[in-house]
Formats: sequence, C-alpha cells, structure tokens
Amino acid sequence: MTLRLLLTLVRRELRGSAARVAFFVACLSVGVAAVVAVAGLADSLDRALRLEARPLLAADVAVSAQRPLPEVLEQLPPGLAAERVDLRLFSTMASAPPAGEAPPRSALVDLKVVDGPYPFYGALELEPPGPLAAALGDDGVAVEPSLLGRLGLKSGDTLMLGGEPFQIRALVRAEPDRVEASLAPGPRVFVSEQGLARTPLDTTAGRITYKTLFRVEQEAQAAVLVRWLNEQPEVAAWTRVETWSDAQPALRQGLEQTERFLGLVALLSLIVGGAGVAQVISAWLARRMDTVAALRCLGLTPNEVVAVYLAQTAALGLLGSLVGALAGTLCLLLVPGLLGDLLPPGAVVPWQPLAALQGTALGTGVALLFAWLPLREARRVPPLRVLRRDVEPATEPALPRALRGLTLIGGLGLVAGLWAGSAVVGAAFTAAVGGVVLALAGSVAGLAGGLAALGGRARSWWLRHGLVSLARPGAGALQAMTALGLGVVVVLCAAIVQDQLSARLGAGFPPDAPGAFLLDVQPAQLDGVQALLQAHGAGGVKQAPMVMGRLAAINGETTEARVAGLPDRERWAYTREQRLSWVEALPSDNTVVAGAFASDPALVEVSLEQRYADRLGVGLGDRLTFDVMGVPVDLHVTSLRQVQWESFQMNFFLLTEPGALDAAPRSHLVTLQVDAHREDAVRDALAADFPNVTLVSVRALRDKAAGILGRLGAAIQALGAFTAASGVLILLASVSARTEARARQVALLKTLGTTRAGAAALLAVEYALVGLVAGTVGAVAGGGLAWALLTQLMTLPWQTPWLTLALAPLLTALGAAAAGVAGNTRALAVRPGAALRS
Amino acid sequence: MSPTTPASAGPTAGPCIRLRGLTRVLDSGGRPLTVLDSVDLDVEDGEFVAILGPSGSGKSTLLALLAGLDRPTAGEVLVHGRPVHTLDEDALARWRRADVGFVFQSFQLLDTFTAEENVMFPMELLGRPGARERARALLDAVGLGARGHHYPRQLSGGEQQRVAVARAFSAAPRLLLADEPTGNLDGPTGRVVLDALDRLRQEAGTTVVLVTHDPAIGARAQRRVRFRDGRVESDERGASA
Repeated sequence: MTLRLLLTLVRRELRGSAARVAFFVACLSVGVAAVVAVAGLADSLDRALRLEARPLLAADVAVSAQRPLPEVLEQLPPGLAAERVDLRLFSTMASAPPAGEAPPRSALVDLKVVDGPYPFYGALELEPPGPLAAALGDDGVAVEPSLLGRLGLKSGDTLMLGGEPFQIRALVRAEPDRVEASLAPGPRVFVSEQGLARTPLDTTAGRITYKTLFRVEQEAQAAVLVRWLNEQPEVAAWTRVETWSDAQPALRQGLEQTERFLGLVALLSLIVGGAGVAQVISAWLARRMDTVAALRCLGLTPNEVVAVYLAQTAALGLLGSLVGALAGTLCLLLVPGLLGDLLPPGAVVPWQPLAALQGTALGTGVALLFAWLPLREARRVPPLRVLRRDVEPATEPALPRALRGLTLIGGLGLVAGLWAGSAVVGAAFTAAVGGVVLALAGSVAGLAGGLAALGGRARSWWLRHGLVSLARPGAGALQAMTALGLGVVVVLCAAIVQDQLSARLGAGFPPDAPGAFLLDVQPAQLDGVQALLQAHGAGGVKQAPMVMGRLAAINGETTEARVAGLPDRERWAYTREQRLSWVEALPSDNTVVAGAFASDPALVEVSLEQRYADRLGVGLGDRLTFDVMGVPVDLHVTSLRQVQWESFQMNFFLLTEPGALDAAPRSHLVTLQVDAHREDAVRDALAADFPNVTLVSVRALRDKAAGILGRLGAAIQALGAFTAASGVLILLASVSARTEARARQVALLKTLGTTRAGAAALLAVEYALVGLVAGTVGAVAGGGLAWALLTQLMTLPWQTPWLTLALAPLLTALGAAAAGVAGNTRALAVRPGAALRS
Repeated sequence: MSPTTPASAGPTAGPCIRLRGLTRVLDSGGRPLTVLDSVDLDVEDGEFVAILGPSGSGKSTLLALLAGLDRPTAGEVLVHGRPVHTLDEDALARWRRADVGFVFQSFQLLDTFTAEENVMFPMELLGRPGARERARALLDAVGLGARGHHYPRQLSGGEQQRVAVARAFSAAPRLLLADEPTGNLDGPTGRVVLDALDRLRQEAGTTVVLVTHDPAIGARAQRRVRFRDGRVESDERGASA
C-alpha cells in the first residue's frame, strides 16, 4: 500500500465521522489542556515565588566566604550580563563619642560594608527615606534604631567606629536580607566602602564575611550563573553560592514540598489524560471492528490495517493535542483573573511555546502509546466477522501479550521520565502506576466476580442483570472499571495531597509566630525583661536558655582534622559557633524521627535537628564534644528531630537534657509578639533598663514569609482542584465513550418490551456498580498513594480524610450512572429499529 | 461498458475451484461439531454456482473456507490451483485484493466512504489507473450513476447492495463470492440486485459462488449444489424449473 493511499484512507475514515472525531479530539484535548495548563501554572508559580523570594537574598545569586572572594568573580563569561555589589560583614565595637571623664557607652554591632547599588531586590527602608549610598557618603552610617537607645544617641549624632567619627544619617527600619536576625551579635550598622577605608577596621577585624551579590538581566541566567560559578574550582572549593531558594530555611521546606507537588500534579494529569485517551481509542476501535473486517476482506493485510489506524490515531492525536495546547494556553490567560492577587503581576506568562510543544508531543505520544494495545487487537480482527458478526478477535498467546504490556509500561516510563526530566522519577512513576493498575485490576476482578455471584440471586431483574453484567466476558466492564479506578486514584490523590499540603502551608501559618527576638538577656535580667515586656503590651513571650559553644570533636576526632580539605561552605557547619539549649520536653513543632529524646539516664544526651546531623555526618550513638568557654562538654546523640521551621518559633539545632550545661555561662533568647506601633516604645524601654539587650524585629520578614507560604498553599489548592476537575471531566467522557456500544442492547431490550425507564434503570444500575467497584478500589489505592506521598516524599504528618474516602465510591457510582444514562439518551429515545438495523 | 477480462494469472489452469475432503469441525461448548464433512467439489471457470441449504447445513462455512476467512480442519481448498488453506494472512490478503470479490448479506460498505470511493477502493489498493472512471461506469451499470457522492447511510438497503456488487466487480476478480446477497432485502429489491450481479458476471465472465437458502434465487444459477448436515446432498446443472 502506498503512502498516498494510506493518507487517502485515513482522510476518508475520519471525514465521514465528524461527531466521533470531535468527541475523540475533545477527550484528548482536555487531557493535553490539563497538562499544558498545569505546566504553565507551575512555571508561573515558580516565577512568582522567585519574584517574591528574591528580596530575601536581595539578589538573584550571592557568593560568600570567610576570606576575600576569588578574583575569577571579577570577570563573568561573555553573554552573562550581571550587575554586582560587594559586601563585607563583620562584628565590631561602636561607641558614642567621648564626652568628659566617663568612658563612652559602647556596643557590639553587626557591620555591613556596602560598595554598590545595594539592595537589588526588596526595599531597604530608611528614615528619612532615600538611597543608601547618598545617606552614607564617606562619613555617614545608617543604624538600626535599637543601637540609639543603647548608646544614648539620636539621629544626626556622631558614632565612633574604629576610632573615626561617623554621622548617623538614617535609621534602618527594614532590611530585606536580614534573615537570620536571631543569630546577629548586635544591631546593624551600614557604612560605605570609602567610609570604612578611613578606619583601620578592615585589617583589625576578626572574622569578616565577604559577600558578592549578583543581579542577572534575564531570569534564566541565574541558573547559568550558578552553574558557571560551581564550575570554577576556587568558587566551588571555598565559597558558598546561594540562590533565593537557599535564603530562608523556613521557606525552603515549603518550596521543596510545592515543587514536588507540582511535579506530581503534572504526572497525574498525564495519567488521567492517558487513561481517557486509552478509553476513547479502544471505544473508537471497537466501533470500527466491522470496517476492519471489511477492509481485510477487500485485501488489506493485518499490518496495513494497523498502519491505517495508527496513522489515523496519530492524526487525531495531533489534532486533539493542538486543540488541547490552545485550550491550555487560553486557561492560562484566565488564571490572573481567577487567582486575583494571588500571583504578583507579570508572573503568569500564558504563551509558553515550550510547554505547548511539550504538551502537543506528549498528547500525540500518549495517544499512540495507549492506542498501541487496542490497535494490536485490530490486527487480530478476523475477516470472518463479515459473515458472522459475533466472531471476536482471537485471544493472543501469553508471551506476545506480556511483551506488549512491557512495551506499554516502558513507553509510559519514557514519557514520564522525559516529562519530569529524570529517569529515576520516570521509573518510580511507572512502577507506582503499574503497581496501582495491577492492584486495581486484581481487586476489581475479585469484587466484580463476588458481586456477580450475588447478583444471580437478586429479586428484581434489572438488579440481577446489572450485577451479572459486571463479570460478563467481553463487555469491557473490567477494563472500564480499571480505567475508572485509576482515575479515582488520581483525583483522590491530587485532592488529598492538595488539601493537606495547602492547609499546612497556608492556613497553617501560626498566629503566635514571634515578631521580634531579644538577644543576650542575662539570667539575672530575665524576670525584669519579662515584666517590662508585659508592661508594654507585648504578648506570646517565650524564652530559652542558650549557651554558645564550638564543636571540638566528633567521636574523639578533632574538628580541625575533620574539616581539613573540606570546602569552606561545608566547613562552616563544623566551625561556626553553635547555640545549645535545653528543654524538659520537646516543643510540639519538633518530631523525633530516630531514637528517643532524653531516654538514657546514664548518658549526657543531645538531640540533633535531622538536616544538621546530615550535614555533620553524624547519627544516633555518636559523641560530640563541644568547647564551651574552654571547657569540653561531651554530648551523646540519642535522638534526631524534624523541626517545622515554618512555625517560625524559636528552635535549635542542638537540644540537650536539662542539667548538662548548668556550669556554663548562659544567656537567654526571648521571643515575643508586639504591635508595630509599640515596637519602638519596647525598644526604648529596653535600652533604658537593659542596655546590653538587643531587640531584633522579624515582623516584616515573618509577614513576607507568611504571605509566600499562604500563596503557595492557595496555588496548590487551585492546581489540585484543577487536576481533580479535569480528571473528573475526562472520566465522565470516557464512561460515555463506552456507552455507544450499549445502544444495540438498549434497542434490543426495548424491542423485547422493556420500557425506557426500565432500560434506563438497567443501565444506571450497571454503571453505578461499575462506579462503585472502581470507586471503592480507587479510594483505597488513592488514599494509600496520598499517604505515601505526604509522609514519605514530603515528610508531612498525615490525617486520614475519612469523609472524602467514604464519599469517593458513592460519588463515583453516581457520576458513572449519570454518564452511562446520559451517553445512551439517544438509544433510549429513538425507536429500536434504527439501532438494530445499523 | 466493457469490463476488462480477468487478468491475474493463477499458478495452474484447470477448474476454478477444487475442494478435496474439506472438513471443518467447530468446538461447540466443549463438544466437537462437524459443520463440513469431507466435501469434494469442483467449480469450472466462469460457472455461476448457487450453494443451497437450510441454515446450519454448512454453506456459509464453505464460503468462509473458499475465501480463506476460516481454516479447514482437514482437506484442501484450491482456487485456480492455489492452495488457499495453506496461505498466511498476508498472502491471503494479497490474493483476495486481486482475485476475489465479495458481496455480503449485510452489505459491508465502508461507512465513511462515498459510494464511488467504495467502488474505487479495490482498484486503488491495486494501484490501478483510472479507478474513478471505472467506478463511475460500474455505478452506472448498476443504475446508481447519479448517487456516487452519497454515503452508505444515505442509500437504501437495495442501493447499498448494488454499490457492493459494483465494488465486488471493480478489480475484475476471477472469483466472486456472495453470501445471501438479498437476505436483508425485499423481493423486488433483491431481484434488482441479482440482475445487476448477473449482468456484470456475464460481461466479465467471472466465476460466481452464491450462498442462499432461497430456491428462487438458486434458480437463477447455472448449477445448484444443495448441502445438508455438512455434506453435498445434490448437485444439478442447467436452468431449474
């Protein structure tokens, strides 16, 4: 057969059945539209997060180290256009100018030396407002308000830094990238590079952090820049390269979970689309069996028949995918209107050629892949069917059938892998889907067989017929139930994960999250500070004792020996000063994931935050030696904890049992909530009574993070709902795709004297049972999958959604019955003769 | 019109059809059911044979075996000397497209093709030039020259079957197999179809094997072979009474 004849055949085959072509295209396009829209939304969300989270780093990319940064940073490769600003950060003493005999008051400050247009993103709020560079000049500083009270100064006064006078030109009300404020040694002071040059500080200061911020011109270049940086041996060896996602540990967890969810949603929409396509194609081919037989009689070889239908599927697949990609793009156009201010302006880019192209290729690929099985059936349609209609295709021997199954699974894995951009994800996804399908098919067959056996004894004839038809061979009920069950799995899984994740990220943001920290409260001051806070209307006051220490040895091996040869950024975990605290019992936002907290009376125990333990490469049973003011303290790791950083509560990497550090000098970390307008009053009162105590406000940051988490939650909800809704739509479509085959049966029943209501009842019972079985098995599998995803992949707690799980089978049954009856409206309405003759 | 004479050459000369010991046993719910029992039959080139018999006598099975749509349990089917029972699916398909025409009880027109395209199709499949012109001529010959652009569902049963007859002759096959061609039609309509078939057969000199349960239709054939219980009951030649 020539290609031309093939195309002529395909054209003629499609031309005469406009309605069926439209239906096929519609089903496929819903799937592709879902995939394209989800991909586009995910991309938009990603962009939105970047827009929102960049201020937390004040840059696209930041490089830092504890020594001058490598010179290679001075020359970025051509084609990478990036602005830069160099910063130096260190702590030093600042004091009021000497006046009279008394020594001037002084305080430890957190100096930030700025050389360039800082910050790139986010707002540095100054009072009076204005650009930082103009305020600083070469003899000015901008300071955090808490410094004024401690030194007894006011705006415009002179501040001594490194022995040189600087004028206080501005107060710092908010600083975008001051994220780990609770770690700060003292109030912030900004000074320009020229200003610093007037002092000897850069040679005398102890521990200087050198930091360069980059802003790239195009978003995509951030990743290019990071890759290039990591390729530079010096950069990789001893600097820390951060992007916005590294900036805020409290957000990172939420971001990671969201990214996983987005990937999941994209893959789930793929299965729903695929299942819908498979159903539609097999229904389509079932109706073409007579034509296939006639073509065989007219002299087409089996391979030519397959070629005709493969080409047909490809053409339909392409058409459906193009329509779907267009529809998905239109959906994205609607998103800003639907989500309102959820996403920042400019975050949604509706026209995404890559997503549209991927969606089209995916839709066509999935159509061909899923068509493969039924198409091979077409090959087996016996031409004898032209003489005897009831001749069914011969059953294929087990081996080729198994091989075809494997081909399909392999193909699915390939598509999933390409889509997710990872072979591991593709394999895991395929294994999961394969497992679910097998479990579904097995339990559906078992349940259906059981129900059918019961049905033999049912009183009313329509119930009996409905039940028995479940297990009738060749009726396609098993296939339909498996496909429907898979759909239920997808919809439930998306809905449950969406629900629990968004609740966790959005509404889950605690109202008692502190707005400010007090640093360096001495034990003797604790009662006084608490009384003062109460008097000024601050609420939610919590405190924790804190001892600073350096990690001296792990299991007797000194830290120096351990870090030798490690790059700076890994060394930092070992060498930085650590805060140790102790508690009687773990707070509620801490979950022990290994071992047990304070469980061995014979040992001095410590509980480590899991990530921190991973970074140090230690686990249960290891012995950590801390140097606390020159005194070695041995601590035994007996538990690992997961901390919900997004609770924004005070939390520590290292928690010991009470008594372990009693001998060490300690201070207290205090957290509190205070209204914005009272913050200055609290700050002033503290400065007057407890000049050593620093108040660090994190309200702006907290609100920002709460906003981002809230948006993540809402966006996840929207995406999950969208996936679930498109899944339901496709499932209904695929149920009604199957119904046409029943038209003859309906006609026959009516001929035999069944009323329309009776025939409708029969159909309703049959489809409701299909839905009930599929819904029950799907609910169990979907709940299980959601549980695995939430607890294993996203490490979130699990709450069994009993109501959802209970409603799923009922709703599936109702929906299937409605779709089944609706799909047969015509057959129920017309005179039976027409249906029987056709 | 002047149909071309059957062109494709068989491997050997001799009778058009030669059946020897043809047996077909079906598995009927676990019990073997002999549908055809050691049938021997020869059909000469250009003969018009009616296969008659009540339902269940094995006549349709015979047709299926003749066309290679089914495989015999034992025995041989030689068509123009070609051992049809040994051919694989691809060889059967190629043989059918060139040498065999079909007319079925339920018409079996391709529903997405127009009448003209249905008639053209066997010729297109063989890559023969002038398919459209010949299709029009054939439709004219069966009295449907004006309906070429209609789809099957826009035609009456009798018209559909006449299209099927035109299609069956379009590739100028040497053998035409017809299965109850008037079974779904009323008497007068059926006669129009049979007239068309007969006329085309005579013009082309095609061998026709027609299966029917209707003695009146069988009467139009040159030879009548009656089947009963899977065996040839009688075989008579010449015009029937």
